Amino acid sequence: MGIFRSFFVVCLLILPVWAHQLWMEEEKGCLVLNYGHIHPSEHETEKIQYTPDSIKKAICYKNGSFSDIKVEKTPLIVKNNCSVVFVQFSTGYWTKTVEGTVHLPKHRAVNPVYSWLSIENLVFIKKWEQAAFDTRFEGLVILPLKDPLKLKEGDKVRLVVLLNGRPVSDVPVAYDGKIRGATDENGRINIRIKHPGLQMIEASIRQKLNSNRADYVVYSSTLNFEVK
Amino acid sequence: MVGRVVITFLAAVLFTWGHELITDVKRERAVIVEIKYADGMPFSYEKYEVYYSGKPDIPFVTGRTDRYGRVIFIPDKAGQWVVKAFSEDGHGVVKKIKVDDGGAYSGGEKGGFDRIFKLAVGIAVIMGFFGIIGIIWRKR
Repeated sequence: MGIFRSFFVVCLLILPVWAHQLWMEEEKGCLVLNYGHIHPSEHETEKIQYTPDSIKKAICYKNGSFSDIKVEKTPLIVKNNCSVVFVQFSTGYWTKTVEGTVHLPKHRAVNPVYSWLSIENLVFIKKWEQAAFDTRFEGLVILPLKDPLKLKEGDKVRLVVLLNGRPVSDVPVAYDGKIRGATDENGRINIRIKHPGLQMIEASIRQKLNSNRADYVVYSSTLNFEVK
Repeated sequence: MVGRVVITFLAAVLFTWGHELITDVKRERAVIVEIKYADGMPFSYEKYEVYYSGKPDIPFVTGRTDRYGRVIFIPDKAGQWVVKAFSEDGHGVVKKIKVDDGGAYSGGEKGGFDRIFKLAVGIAVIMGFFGIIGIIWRKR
């Protein structure tokens, strides 16, 4: 009885928190970069405005060569029929203080607990060109090992998660916002395609950083492609 | 003169009473909502609001999560409660929790009590099954 009483005194729920997502989707023949919540719940905003300076890099791969995409206004709209689009996005330094999270580096925050730099990468595949993925991408990327555009609902996609070009193990990988597993010692994971349309595969890791601005760098990555 | 002293004394006493706070340390049943980032780090020192579903406009309690990312509140009635917690960098959670008359809850992804209770029931069923087989076996 004593054990049961103590359990009722403490009713514990453990909840994970959602974060903003980065994704790209086709709209009227163009590719549009969105930031917010792809499947918003009743209290969430689907698309949040971001500034052009949040986009650190935007690269188009088409017919065997890379070219920079000019970022003049947001949302970023890519018109030039790229086979693969790579975007690096950063909202900069954030610090956890005893009065919540503030958008400042650690040395400028009052009562800091810990700080981090957020770096998010996105890869959108419209047309399979294997050579696009032989390049070393900076930061964290999720790449398919074979053409994912041939897959159907119920198939598995074989992926590799790379950090600065090297495979990383034990990285949790989410499909449609739900963790489906972690990468193996070679940075690989299989994810089952559960529906047609836009595929949303995400991963995130935290690495120690020796800086007075931040204690960690949080690398996040999104892989988007369409399944018919 | 004496009258003035007495009035001053009484005013001072009344002033003290008016500003005195009485503390009462109690042991109560509480709902604890522990919030973590996807990588397991606690959602600490962030703002939260707790609402009773019948009064969605007036929070029952507001505050900040503790060092371990916990929201702790003591429901004053049974029904559906809503916990909202947000941070400036865009993280957040909205969770509906059903509290019954006995103070028990439901609605968590990983309710510690729920898991242990299910595990205990499972073990009891298995032990009961083998116990019945043992009794039948001995009677033979």
